[in-house]
Amino acid sequence: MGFFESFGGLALALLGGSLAVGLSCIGSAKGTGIAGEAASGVVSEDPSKFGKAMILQVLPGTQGLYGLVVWFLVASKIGILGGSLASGMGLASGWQIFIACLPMAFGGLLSAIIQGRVAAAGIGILAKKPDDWAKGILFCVMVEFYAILSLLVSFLMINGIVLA
Amino acid sequence: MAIMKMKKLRMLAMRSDREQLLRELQRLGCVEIREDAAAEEDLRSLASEREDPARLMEARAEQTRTAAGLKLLDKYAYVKSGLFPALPEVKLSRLFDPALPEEARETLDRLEKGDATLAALLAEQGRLRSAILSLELWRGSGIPLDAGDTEHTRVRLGTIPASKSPEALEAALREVTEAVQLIPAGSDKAQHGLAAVFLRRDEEAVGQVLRSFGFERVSFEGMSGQAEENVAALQKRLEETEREQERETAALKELGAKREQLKLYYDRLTQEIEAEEAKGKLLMSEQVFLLEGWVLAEAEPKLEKLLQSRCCAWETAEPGPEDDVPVKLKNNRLTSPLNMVTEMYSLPQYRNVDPNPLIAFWFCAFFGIMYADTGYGLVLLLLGLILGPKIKKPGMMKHMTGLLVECGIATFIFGWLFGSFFGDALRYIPNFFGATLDLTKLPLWGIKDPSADPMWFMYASLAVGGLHLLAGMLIKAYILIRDGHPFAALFDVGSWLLLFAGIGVGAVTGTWWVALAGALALVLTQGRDRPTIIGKAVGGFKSLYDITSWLGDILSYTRLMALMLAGSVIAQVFNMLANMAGSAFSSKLVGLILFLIIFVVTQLFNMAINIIGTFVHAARLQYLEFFGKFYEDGGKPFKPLQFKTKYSQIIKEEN
Repeated sequence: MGFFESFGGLALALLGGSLAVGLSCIGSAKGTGIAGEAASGVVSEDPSKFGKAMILQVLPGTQGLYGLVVWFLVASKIGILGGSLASGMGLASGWQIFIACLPMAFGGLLSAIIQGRVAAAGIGILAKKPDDWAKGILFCVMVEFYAILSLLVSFLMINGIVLA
Repeated sequence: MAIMKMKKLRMLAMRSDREQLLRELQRLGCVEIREDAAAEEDLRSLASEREDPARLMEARAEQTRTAAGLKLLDKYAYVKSGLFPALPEVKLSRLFDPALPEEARETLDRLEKGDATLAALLAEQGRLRSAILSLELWRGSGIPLDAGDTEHTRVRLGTIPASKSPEALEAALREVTEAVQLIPAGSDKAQHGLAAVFLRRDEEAVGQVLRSFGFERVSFEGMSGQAEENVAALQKRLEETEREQERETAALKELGAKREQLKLYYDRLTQEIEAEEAKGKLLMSEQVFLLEGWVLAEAEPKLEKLLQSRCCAWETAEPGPEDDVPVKLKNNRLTSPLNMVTEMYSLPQYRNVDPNPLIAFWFCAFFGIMYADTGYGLVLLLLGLILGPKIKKPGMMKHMTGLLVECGIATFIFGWLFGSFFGDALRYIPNFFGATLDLTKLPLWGIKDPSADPMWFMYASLAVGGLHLLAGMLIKAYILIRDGHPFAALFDVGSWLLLFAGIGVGAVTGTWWVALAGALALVLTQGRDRPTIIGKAVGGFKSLYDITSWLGDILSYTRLMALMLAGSVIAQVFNMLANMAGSAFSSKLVGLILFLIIFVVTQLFNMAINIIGTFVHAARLQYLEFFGKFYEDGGKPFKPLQFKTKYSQIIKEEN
C-alpha cells in the first residue's frame, strides 16, 4: 500500500484516464491504419472511390474519440481542467476512477483493431461490388456497438463515483 | 397498406399484334410475364416457338454504345449537374419518335469519329515530338541526315554514352587506321552524337573500336538534308495538328447540345430491351402467341378495357396454394418510406402480412429514443423536407427522405421529453449573452434526464421491448386466425401470453398459479404436431426452454438506453470542450464565435457517427426480435412489364 500512497489517489485517477485515451487511440490508429492500407489499394485502381473508401476508413477512428470522452469525464471529475484540482484525493477514490476507466481502455483498444479489419473487408466489397458498399458500413457498425457499451459503462461508473 | 392481390393471367393473341400489345401492357405497367409458362400439353405443342434473341442483343449493344457516347460527351463537353438533378419530363410520342434512332445514331457516329480523329492526332503529335527530340543532337552539325556510303567509304551516324569522350574514341580509332574522321554533332546529358567516316576496307577494325565505346547507330529514314530543315518541317506539321485538334475539340464541344437526345435514346432503348426480354418469355406458333403471368387484381378492369379492342382470348384466375405469387406492397405516404427498412431485409411471402405499417411506429420510435435530441431531430426533419421534393424518382433515395422526416419528428419528440438540444448546448449558449434559459417551464420539457437516472432508462427500455415483442406475438395470432387456425393461435400465442401475464401477476402479488398455468399450457400444447405421446411430451417441455430466447430478446432492447446515453454523453463532452475554448476569451463576441465553430463541427460529427448506428440498431430490433415472431420472408418482388427510365420522366398521355 505504501507504494501507491507515495503517489496518491490523483495519480491513479490520471493513470486511468490516460490508459482510456491512450489505449483507445492506439487501437484506433491501428484500425484506421489497417483500413487505410486496404483503401489505398482500391483507390490506386479507381480514384473515384476515394470518398467511400475514406468513410469506411474513419469508422475505426471513433474509439479514440470515445477514449477522449472518458478522459474528459475523468478530468472534469478531478478538476484538472481549470477547476480546483483534487490533489488531496484519497487512494480509494483514485482506484475507483482507475478501474472505471478500464472498460473503455480495453474495449476501445481491441474493438478498434477488429473493426479496422472489418472495415478493410468492407473496402473489399467496395472494390468488387461498389453498389453494395453500404453493407460494409453496417458490418463495421456492429463492432462499434461494443465500443459504445464500453464507453457507457465507463461513463456510468465515473459519473457515480463520489470523491473522498 | 397491404400486400396487393394478384391474379393469374393467361392470354392467347395474334402474333401480328404482338409489338403493339406489349407496348400497351408496358404503358399499363400491371402485368408480369412469367418465363416458366406452365401451359397444358396441348397449348404447349401448339405454341412452342421462342423469340430469336438477336434483336435483344442488338438493342443491348446499342445501349452500351449510347452509354459510351454519353461518357464521351462528359469528357468533351462537361456540364456540372447537381447532386439530385431534376429529370426532364418527356411525352411518350417523343420517346417513341420514329426519327429518334436515326438522329441519335448520327450524333453517335459524329462523336465516335471525332474521338477517333482526336486520338489519331494525339498519337501523331507524340510521334512528331519524339522525332524532333531525336534530331536535337544533330541540329547545327552540318551533317546531312541521309549521308550515304560511297564506293570506297562508309558513313555512320550514331551516339556514344556521355561517359565516354569523343576525343578518346578518336585516339583509339587513330591507332587502328589513319584514314578515319570523326565529325562531332552535339551532346546532351546522356550521349554524344557523332558521324564516323572511314574506308570500306577498315570496316571490321573500326567497327570493333566503335562497339567497344558503346557506339549505337541511328538512322533517319525518310529524312534528307540538314537536321535544321527537318525540325522546321516537323514543327510546322505539329502546329497544324494542334490547330486541327482545337477544331475537333470545339466540334465535339458543340455536340454537347445533343446530350438530351442521347439520354432520351438511352431511355428509349431501355424500353426496347424490356419489350424484347418480354418477347423472349412468350411461347409462339406461326399465328398466335401465348402469354402467362400475373396481373394486379385491382388493375384488371384496365386490362380488360385494353384487351377488348384486340383479337385475343384471355382469362384470369385466383392463385392456387402451390403458386409462387410475386409480392407488391401497397403503401401510403406515411408507411412507404419504411420500404427502405423492409427491402434491406426481404419482402414478405404473398400470404404473410405487409410489415411496413407494423414497423412504422416502432422503427421511428426506436430511432427517436436512441437519437433523442431536439436539435438533431430538427436537422433531420429539415434535411428530409429539403431533399424530399428534389428527388423525383421513386426508389431508395426517395424512401430515405421520407424516413428522415418521420425519424426527425420522433427524434424531436423524445429529445423534448429528455430535455436535450444538441446535448446540453442550452446551458452554454445563453451565457454568451449574459442570460440563462430555463426550458423546464415548458410542458413536458426534460421530464426525464438520461444521465441523472440511467437505471430508470434501462428498465424503460426493457418495458418498451416487452411491448414490442408482445405486438409481434399478437400479429402472429392475427395471421393464424385469419388463415383459419384459431386453435393454433390460442395454443402458440395464448399460452405464452398467459405465462407472461402470470409472471407479472407473480411479481406483483406473489401468487404464481397463473404463471404455472401458462407453463402447463405450453407443455400440453407445444408438442401437439409430434406423432407419439413421448414426442408430444418432449416437444412440450422443450418449448419451455424458449424462455431463454425470450430473455435474450428482451435484454437486447437495452441497446435503446445504451445508444441514447452514449450519444448524449459525447454531445455533452463536446459542448464542454467548445465552452472551454469559448469562455477563455474576455470578449463575449469572440468567445461566442469560437464556441459556435467548435460546436457546429463537433455536433455534426456526433450526428454523423451516431446516425448510422441508430439506424442499424433500430432496424435490427425489427429484423431479429420483431420479425422473428411472425414474419415469413423470401417474397419475390413483382416485376411488371413497364416503362423504366434513367434520365427522364414519362408523361403518359391518354389516347
